[in-house]
Amino acid sequence: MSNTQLSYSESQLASHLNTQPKVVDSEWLAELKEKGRDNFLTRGFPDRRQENWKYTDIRTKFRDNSFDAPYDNGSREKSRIVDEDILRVVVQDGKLTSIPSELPKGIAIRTLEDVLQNDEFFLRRYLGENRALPKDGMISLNSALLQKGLVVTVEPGGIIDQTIYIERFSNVPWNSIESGRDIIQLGERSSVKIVEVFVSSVSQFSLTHNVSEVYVEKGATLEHAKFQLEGNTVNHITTIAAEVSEGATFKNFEISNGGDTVRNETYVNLLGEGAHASLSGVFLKAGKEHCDTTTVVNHIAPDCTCNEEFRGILAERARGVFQGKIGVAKNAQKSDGRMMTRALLLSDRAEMDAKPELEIYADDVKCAHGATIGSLDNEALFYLRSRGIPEVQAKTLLMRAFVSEAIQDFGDEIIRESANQLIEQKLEFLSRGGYEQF
Amino acid sequence: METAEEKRQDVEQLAKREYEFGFVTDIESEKAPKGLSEDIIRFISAKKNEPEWMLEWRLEAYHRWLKMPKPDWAKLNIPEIDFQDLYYYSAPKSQADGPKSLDEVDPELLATYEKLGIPLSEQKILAGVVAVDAVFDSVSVVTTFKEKLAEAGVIFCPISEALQSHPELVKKYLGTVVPQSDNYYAALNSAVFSDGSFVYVPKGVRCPMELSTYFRINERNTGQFERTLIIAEEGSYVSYLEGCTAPQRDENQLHAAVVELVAHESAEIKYSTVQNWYPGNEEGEGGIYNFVTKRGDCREANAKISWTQVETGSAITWKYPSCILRGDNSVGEFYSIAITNNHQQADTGTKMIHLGRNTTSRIIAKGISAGKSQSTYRGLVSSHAKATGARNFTQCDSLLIGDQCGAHTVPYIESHTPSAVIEHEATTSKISEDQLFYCQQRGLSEEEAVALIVNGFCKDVLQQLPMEFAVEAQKLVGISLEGSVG
Repeated sequence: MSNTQLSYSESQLASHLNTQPKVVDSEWLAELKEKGRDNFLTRGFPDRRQENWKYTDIRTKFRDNSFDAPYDNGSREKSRIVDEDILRVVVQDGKLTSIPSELPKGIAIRTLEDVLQNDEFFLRRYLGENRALPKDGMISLNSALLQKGLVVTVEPGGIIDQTIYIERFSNVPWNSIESGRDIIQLGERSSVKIVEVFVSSVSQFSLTHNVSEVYVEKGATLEHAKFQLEGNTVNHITTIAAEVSEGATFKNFEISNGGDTVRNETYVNLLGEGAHASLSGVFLKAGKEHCDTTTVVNHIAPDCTCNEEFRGILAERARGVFQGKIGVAKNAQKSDGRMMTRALLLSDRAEMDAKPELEIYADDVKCAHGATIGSLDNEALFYLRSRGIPEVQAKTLLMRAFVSEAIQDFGDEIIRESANQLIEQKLEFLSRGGYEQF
Repeated sequence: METAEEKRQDVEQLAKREYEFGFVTDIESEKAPKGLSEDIIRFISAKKNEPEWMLEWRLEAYHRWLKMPKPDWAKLNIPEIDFQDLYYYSAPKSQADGPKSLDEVDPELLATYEKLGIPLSEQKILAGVVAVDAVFDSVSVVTTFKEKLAEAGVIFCPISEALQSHPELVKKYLGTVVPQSDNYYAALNSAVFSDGSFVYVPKGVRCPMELSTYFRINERNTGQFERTLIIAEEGSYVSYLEGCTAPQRDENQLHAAVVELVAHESAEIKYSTVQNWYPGNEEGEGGIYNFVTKRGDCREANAKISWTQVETGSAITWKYPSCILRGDNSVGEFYSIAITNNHQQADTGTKMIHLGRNTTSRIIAKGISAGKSQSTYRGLVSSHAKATGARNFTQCDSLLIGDQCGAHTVPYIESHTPSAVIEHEATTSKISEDQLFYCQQRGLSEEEAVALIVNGFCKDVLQQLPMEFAVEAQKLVGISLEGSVG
């Protein structure tokens, strides 16, 4: 396998993919990668004419490679979760560098290479097979570059009490793509809590592109959180594709605090009766940051429920995007879907675009979505200030209340607490005026 | 008590009931040959004795149309349309003699209107509160109440006539809201539009009556390309009604209309539509294709444009009445009911573009899908950098009847303005068993109960319709859903 870091202009990628040496160790994997390569070469980077990428123009972005001077907001220390009770895994530039010597019974954390050598059968069953995965240029590219990744498996019936903390630190060279593919597979009736933290070294211009294929089998529960805290020269596109079986629960919570152009995609297929998905997130953006939250939840089996709750605050020239879609298939009767997105604009030049979508083919369903965009309530601000609370604190307080709904329902306490801390820091930064204060 | 078998038969009978307003009138038409070319456009233009600039305008639109792709973003399954297999001009023959009064009008034509209940007959004139600029296929045949309107200074006439009598007004406003190359169907319309209504309300005038046009597609394979232009000068008010039914036939018919509204300072335009064109039979054969571009421009401060629509007909509906809120404090409204049954498809909604300060807009959209139909709400609310204090409220609710249909919501919300407040709500549900049971145990049949509940669901929109239409619309809601339950 080649270890070259890739520059991400499309033509360079194409020439790299064409000269990439063939993977010899597995015919099957070579085929998968070739298919990804061919698809990427025909599709290219997604452009705005694709409805799903309407508001995020990465084609132009990566063509021009223009960016601002770096700021520091992605330092590694800030994001450290200090808690004895977590299992810390460190992944540096896609390579597993640290893992607890002893993992609780029932869970295994391995690298993709390791699994390929010892358990190809598993990979054939799960890698690239996720029915929730979208078919676009980014996923094709990820398949074409397939090489690094983590495989987390939980045995049937395994209840993992400790929170798994995966720190992803990237320090790749200028203008390069850090591409990874993970698999998280939970056996029947098992449960686990995972938090992934994306951090970067300061002042590098790169693209982090991670695709996770998630399988939550019958009756299992996965609580997954993602803290996206990279420096604001790092572009970040991650896709989580989850298949959720009968009676299983998939919860995903994300904080997007850093990065330049960021896109957090979550695709969920509720495949068995009584499956539940709960997606929530907070994005806090300033400067010229761009944050796109895209979710698609497909109710395929009857009696499934989903709940989405997203909050965004946009300062300076930041731009937020929310595209959410709830689909209900023909025989998915008794589906219950709810989706709510709210955004605050703090400056004249900030922008928010929302597209909450419903696509329903069954009649016995309850689906609702709501979206609001507005600014901080001046009267509330005045109320607080008239009681002697300084402006910065008053603003922080109001914004804190605004985002809290998206956090409060997330089960795991450690994750919730660290999320609150991260949000507090960023809100204060925003209340003080974002980057302009420096 | 009725047995289940009897009930099933009843329902089947209802479902099989023929389209109530379906009949074909035999009047010879004067037609241009099939197909679309520069020559046909010259023919149409010459036939209407249009000024030279108008012909050039049409030709420019035609050339742009040739280069445009068909829109494919709507959630619609549109069969291939052969634009060369359509007639682009047809006029009832009697028009050539130019009837001056009702007596001169072809009695068969009058009978047709009679069946539709158009108030052209004498008793209607006596009762008359409504002026009718009745469009039969493409050429406006009779226009009533002209004098009364003329007294108020309101111009209400076919657009072809306006091109003769007020060319300067038409030239000034035509295409300023919907440009020739706005979209595929608008470009087609600009090239070949046959006729439509023209309304001009002068400064400070409150139009003394509701203006109304009944459209009727009659000639086999005739594309109907209406073009309506309404201009409300400073401080004026006008309410315009548009309603339509069409005879039953097998071949699909294309309808690509364009409506342009211009509201100047403090003017108000209220535009109401009841659309009940032939939706195709229960197998999904036939029916009208309705591709309409409607847009209003609140050009100056304090203007208001309000769209109300009840869409129950057409095999395919592609329609997005929009408001450009350019003037400060201007107001846009959109109230819509879209009902689809059998194999109908509807992709409809609105655009509210907030450009001026303190502009407000309100969207209430109700979609009801039954049978095997698909109904989509697609809308855009955008507030631009200068639209400080803009305010929008959107509510779109869908009701599903039966497990074969689909209801979709695709709203786009784009805000560049921190002081703008945009709210969007949407729900999807079905008629609850409890409600049905309650109505039925009080002696209503299932159909009546559904009609009652659906009317309640649509109430917010029905209330917005002018009186004359509200009654018709309520009936329509019931008729459209016949055969969808049981």
